[in-house]
Amino acid sequence: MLVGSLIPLKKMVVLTRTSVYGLGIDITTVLAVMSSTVAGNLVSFSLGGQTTKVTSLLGLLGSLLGTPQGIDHTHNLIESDGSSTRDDIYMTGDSWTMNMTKFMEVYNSIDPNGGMTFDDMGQRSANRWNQSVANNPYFYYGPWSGMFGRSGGYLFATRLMSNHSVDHPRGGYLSKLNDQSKSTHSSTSLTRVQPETCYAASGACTTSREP
Amino acid sequence: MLCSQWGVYNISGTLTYKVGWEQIPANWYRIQGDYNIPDILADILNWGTQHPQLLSIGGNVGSVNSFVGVDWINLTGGVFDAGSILQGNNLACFVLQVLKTGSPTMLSSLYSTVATPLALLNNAIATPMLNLSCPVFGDLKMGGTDLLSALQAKYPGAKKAASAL
Repeated sequence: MLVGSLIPLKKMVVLTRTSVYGLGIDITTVLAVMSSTVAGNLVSFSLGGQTTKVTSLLGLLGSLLGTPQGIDHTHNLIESDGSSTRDDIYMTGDSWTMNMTKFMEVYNSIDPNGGMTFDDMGQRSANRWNQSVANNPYFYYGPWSGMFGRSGGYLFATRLMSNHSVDHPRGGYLSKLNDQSKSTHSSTSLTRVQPETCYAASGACTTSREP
Repeated sequence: MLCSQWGVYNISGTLTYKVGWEQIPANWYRIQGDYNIPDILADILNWGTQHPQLLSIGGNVGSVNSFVGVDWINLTGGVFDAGSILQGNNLACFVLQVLKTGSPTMLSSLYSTVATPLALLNNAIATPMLNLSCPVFGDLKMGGTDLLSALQAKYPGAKKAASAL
């Protein structure tokens, strides 16, 4: 289970989010602090559920009541209803494991020769919002976790996770598979991120994993 | 791209989800420039113009298809209305103010002493609020009580989660 560290400042989560994904330091700091305080023990938090790597630090930096839950368990704090590929927590009890049926809806909607655009993603967000209203009696859309956080989830996917190119330097192009044939990737104005760079921050340099 | 980042692999011709196997593929190029709060705000307003429900704070009230929203005048204690909330950085300022307002209660259910985590969170929120030139808000209230308590009482989903953030 990966663990993100808050203190000291040179931390894998912030480093990964900012230098790898390009997420601004303003929002990254808020999210990192939220995650560490709400889901962790102030210095670390689990990217999943409870783990022995993140325990309550009694007497240190304020006493956490109970066990750090991990960011899987942050409903209406960080996590929100109406995700693209995950279920609503009060409908199935699991809002973190990907729902393959939902993934395939997105996958099948993408032109094999094209990519999911920024507006496609906005439509997906609206559709999933409507579905939650229609299916989840506990659907709640709060200002921070819903309107801002949930939107952020969809936006990060389209803006940050796309394979960027001269045609799409700010994202908005999610292809089905890993198409590496585009000559537009060769522009020197774009930064290529190697998988081994991503893992290097943890001290373990590895290349892409193959299942 | 979708497959790699969502942990889906083509194994013997079948698309298979492998938990924890999300990864950035080879030959991946990151976004040009950074993606920060003003960028996020612009995109939220863009989608919100196309799909107004994405700017509708509220929830179902006890059954499916029972969504009730809250108007902006009530949400912001009269500071903004449906028109002005869309202007400038107002929406982001409101969201950050909500987080700031809700932090003490949220943390007091998690920590016996909230001073340190509260200071960490307040510092993280204060910087962007300064940079966005946010107006100074009073504590957010609705119907005579604090906003988040009022939302929690109104919406079963917020009540069940013990959070209306």
